[in-house]
Amino acid sequence: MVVPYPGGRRTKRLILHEGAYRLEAYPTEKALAAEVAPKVRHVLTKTRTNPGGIHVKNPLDSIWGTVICGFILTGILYYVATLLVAHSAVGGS
Amino acid sequence: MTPNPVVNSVMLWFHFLAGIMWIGLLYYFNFVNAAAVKEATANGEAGPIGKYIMPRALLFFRYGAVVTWIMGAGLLSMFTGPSGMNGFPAAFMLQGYLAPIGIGAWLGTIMLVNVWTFIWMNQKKILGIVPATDEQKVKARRVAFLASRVNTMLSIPMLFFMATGPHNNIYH
Repeated sequence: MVVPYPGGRRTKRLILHEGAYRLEAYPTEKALAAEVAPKVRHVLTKTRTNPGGIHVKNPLDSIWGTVICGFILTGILYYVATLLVAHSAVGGS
Repeated sequence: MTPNPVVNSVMLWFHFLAGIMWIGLLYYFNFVNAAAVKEATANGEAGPIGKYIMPRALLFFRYGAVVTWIMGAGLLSMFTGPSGMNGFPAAFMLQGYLAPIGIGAWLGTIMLVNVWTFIWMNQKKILGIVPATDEQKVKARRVAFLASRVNTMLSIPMLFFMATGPHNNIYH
C-alpha cells in the first residue's frame, strides 16, 4: 500500500513510529515491546515512503543488498583506478 | 627506498593478523549476530548477547582496526612514491602505481573512523556503557546498524584493492 506523505500531517507511518517508541519507553510492557516494536520498525524500514509516494528500500537493510552494493562499488573504483594509473603512465610520473 | 625485508614481512604479518581480527568480527556482526539478535529479541533471550558477547567482540573489533591501520600506514611509508615522495602520502594522494593501494587505504581509513565514531559511540549507548533513554537507544541501534553495514559494503572494494594493489599489471 502506498501511504501518502503530505507535509506536516501525521501519517500512518509516523503514528506507527511513535507507537513503537512509546511502547519501548513504557516500563511495564518491556516484554511486549521487545516482541512488537522491532517488528513494527522492521516493516517501516523495509518500505520507506518518499514525498512522491514511491516505496524506497534501503539496500543496506539486507545483508545481500549490502554485498551487491560492495561489488558494484568495487567495479566503479576499479575503473577509477585504471584511469589514475593510465593517466600517470601518460604523464610519465 | 628499499624496505628492510624482515621489518616489512613482520609488519605485513601483523597487518594480516589484525585485519582478519577486524574484518572477521565485522562479518560476524553482519552475517551472524544481527540476525541472531533479532531472533533472540523476539524470544526475549537477547540479554546475554549484549552482556557477555558484544563488549568483548567490540573490544577486539575496534583495537583490531587500529592495529591494522597502523601496520598498513607503516608498510606504505617504507616505500617511495612515483614522484620521490614518501609512499604514505603518495598513496593517499593516489599517485601513479600507488593509486590502487591508495584507494584501499582511503577505504580502510573511512572504515576505521566509522568504527570509532558511529559504531562504537552508538554501541556504548545500546550496551548501557553510557546512560541513554530508550528512545536514544533505539536511534543508536539504527545508526550503529547502518554504519556497520556501510563498513561491510566498503570492506569488499577495500579487500580487492589490498589484494590487487601490489600486482599493478591488472590496472593497465
